[in-house]
Amino acid sequence: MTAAVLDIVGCGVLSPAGSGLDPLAAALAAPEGSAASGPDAPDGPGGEPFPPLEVRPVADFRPQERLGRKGLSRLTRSDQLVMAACGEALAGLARTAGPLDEEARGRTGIVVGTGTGSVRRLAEFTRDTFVQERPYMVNPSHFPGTLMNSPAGQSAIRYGLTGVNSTLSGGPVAGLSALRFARNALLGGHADRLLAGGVEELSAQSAWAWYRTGALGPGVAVGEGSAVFVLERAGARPHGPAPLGHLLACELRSTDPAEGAAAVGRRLAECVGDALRGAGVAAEDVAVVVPGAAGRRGWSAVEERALRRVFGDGGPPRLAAQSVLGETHSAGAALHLAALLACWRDGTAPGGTGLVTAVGPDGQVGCLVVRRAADAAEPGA
Amino acid sequence: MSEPLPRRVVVTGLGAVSSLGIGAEAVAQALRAGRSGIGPIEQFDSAGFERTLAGEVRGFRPEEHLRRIDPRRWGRSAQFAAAAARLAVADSAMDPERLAGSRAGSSFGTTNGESAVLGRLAEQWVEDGLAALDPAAVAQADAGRIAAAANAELGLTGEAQTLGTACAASNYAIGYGYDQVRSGAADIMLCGGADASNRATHAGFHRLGALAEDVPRPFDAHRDGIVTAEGGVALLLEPLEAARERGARIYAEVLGYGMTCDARHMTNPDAASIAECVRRAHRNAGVKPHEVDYVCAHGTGTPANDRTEVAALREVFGDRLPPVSSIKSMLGHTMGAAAGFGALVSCVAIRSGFLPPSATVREVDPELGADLDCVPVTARTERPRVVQNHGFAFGGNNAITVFGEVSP
Amino acid sequence: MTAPTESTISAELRDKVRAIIADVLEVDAAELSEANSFADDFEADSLMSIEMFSRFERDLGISIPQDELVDLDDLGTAYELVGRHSAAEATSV
Repeated sequence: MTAAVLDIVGCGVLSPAGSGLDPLAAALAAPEGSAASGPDAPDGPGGEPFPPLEVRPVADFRPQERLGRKGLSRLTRSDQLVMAACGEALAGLARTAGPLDEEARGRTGIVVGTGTGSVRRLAEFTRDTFVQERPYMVNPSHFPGTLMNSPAGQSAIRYGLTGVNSTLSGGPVAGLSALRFARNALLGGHADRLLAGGVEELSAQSAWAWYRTGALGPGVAVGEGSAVFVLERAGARPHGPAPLGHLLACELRSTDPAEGAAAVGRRLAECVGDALRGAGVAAEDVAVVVPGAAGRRGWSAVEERALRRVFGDGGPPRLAAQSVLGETHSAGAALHLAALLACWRDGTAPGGTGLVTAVGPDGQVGCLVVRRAADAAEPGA
Repeated sequence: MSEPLPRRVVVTGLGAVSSLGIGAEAVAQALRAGRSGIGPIEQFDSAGFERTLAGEVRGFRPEEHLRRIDPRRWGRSAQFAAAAARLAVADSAMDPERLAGSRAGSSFGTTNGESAVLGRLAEQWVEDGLAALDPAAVAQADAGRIAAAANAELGLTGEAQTLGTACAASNYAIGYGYDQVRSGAADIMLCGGADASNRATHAGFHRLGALAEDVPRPFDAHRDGIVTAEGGVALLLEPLEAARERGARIYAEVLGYGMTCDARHMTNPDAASIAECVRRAHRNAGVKPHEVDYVCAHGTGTPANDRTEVAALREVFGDRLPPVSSIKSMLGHTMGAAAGFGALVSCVAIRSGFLPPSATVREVDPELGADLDCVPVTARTERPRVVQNHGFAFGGNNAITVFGEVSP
Repeated sequence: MTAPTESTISAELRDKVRAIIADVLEVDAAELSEANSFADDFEADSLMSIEMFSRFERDLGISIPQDELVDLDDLGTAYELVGRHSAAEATSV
């Protein structure tokens, strides 16, 4: 089965804990609620006030310093977050393997999971069609940012990556949607290296949407962030540095949500079972589970019941990163994988094999199986 | 059951919801007849716009086409996708029960996601403030619900992937679905795209000066832009062997696809990158340029697109350009569904033997080259054996699918 | 049609046009001279040209017809276009 395994050879992470894996590991290891909720809330000029909810913006994110001032106002916050995450991932890659030459950039691409793209940009652009003197008096430079594929497209321009570039939408499952798309593109030979992950931006518009639906669990903050993982076919670089982990499986399933939450939960249990079988991993060999729905009212219990169907009562320890990240919606699955890799590197989560799950209210479910690199000594086993 | 992998993949069902009618046959007949689906905008208040035409699905009653999902719980784009998927299954004559029990999923492309829902939410913000956002509308806002709706409608338990690669998205979705069936990861995939007519998209293209005054005229010397449009389209993909076993009508084989990213500019197309996309699609499909009998163009009707697209084709095909036509001359630009409609007509062309016309062209642009055969004005009776179908998008996302006849 | 001249644009309007263009290009207005090429010197592209035209319309109430929406590349052309269409609007009132 090694042919279907991908190596995670690098990553770029921006989260409410800060930049990179280290602050994320530190925040997850610290007592509950100690995550930074910095003063740098993302409502720029003209931003609307937030609802009475706790928010967790990306800590210490100064886009001007990271990306330069020029052209910044035309970029959405999602664009900026993905650009910064890709920049971090590529810088890490360059440190260990040197910068990508033009040929390599032609075989390298970006795959981003999102919900609806930049909610704030789309809302403000549409608002202009109502409040300007004529409905078409919108800012043309803001038009591309209304599209979901803006972060992936803008990041490709910035880093000159002409390989496969894609964007997937899947709500809380979106990070898995992107990783699965990337996995297919790599295994099908469409690309050699993909930066795949997810993004979610915090805005007054989206915070109000959370507030109005009441979908958050008690005391859960609204977060944001982006995580991208550099994926390559396993063993593509026999002499390179050890990867962060091996992606053994990434599976998605769905259920008609009208069948009820219990049916969605059963589908998740099936999905996890199939993924573990595909990965050749027994349930008792899973060392840690990162639940995706822990911040969502109702769905948290549905997910937990599904996990119990697979693992029995108790089962492996859960790493609920929502205590640090808040609910990060379409960045969730990617940030949860980042949290697991961070804790593994820090030695604060049990090593071996990990499971990341996600559940969407639209009936989409998914999971990925990842193995810590150091635990995969015997290739071809 | 140890069928050798990779498997050959064929299209055995087509479904469509469009300005030219509901169902693949109605749409294909209209495209063959050169009819126009363009008319006055009804989906949003067009007062104040200087361009007020669109290719909308008039009188769409979702409850007539959806058997399982409640349309009130899904946005217009999701309804389009689910209805098109339901129609494709009916067209394939596959037993819906058997389908639901199969390893089946869907992949759908979109540009603007649930844009009609998002437009309503923006209006609520403007009128009454963010505190007045309707929770039911919020719950329908994610674009990922488009493929999810198709799965829910058909009771599919496999994956539901929604591709957000703008106006090339259907080709990404078809390519992805093809890979799933080919590799054995799934046995059946419903693939296509959906988008709904909306204010923000219309305003954006309006502001760019990219909207045509009346109808789009791809490849015309005086072409002046696109007409925004909407719709949903779906293709049912299954292995060739399974299709033959059940005696299914086969439209065409999916031969392969290719993707590139310009990484140069968010809105300007790039000929070199498109040419590379054509080469990758040919390589993946195992076809040579001289084997391609017809190109179903992206052909938006903007001066820049058509010029760039033809230049890219010349880079690959040299002076042996196959016929190249644009169905956007009739449908307008259905955004994320556009490449799916191209795929639909490519499949019907292969099976029924016609090339759809560039219906609105009056004077073929001499700058595109005297030898450009854009199938002007009327369809041509001619059976293409290999067709390539283009989809290009903002963000520099290009994807091309290749379809071919299946030898008996 | 008589040949348009730059003299149709007032010094005040000229300053406003320059300020809008500088804003779109993200440069200081003082950095912008009539010798500059927006594309070569400030990496302007077609989208930014359209942004300039849309700002003339939104901020100055001067709309340039679609068939005259060229890729704006220098101040002289901008003054000429704005001057001609502001004059046309003034006389048509």
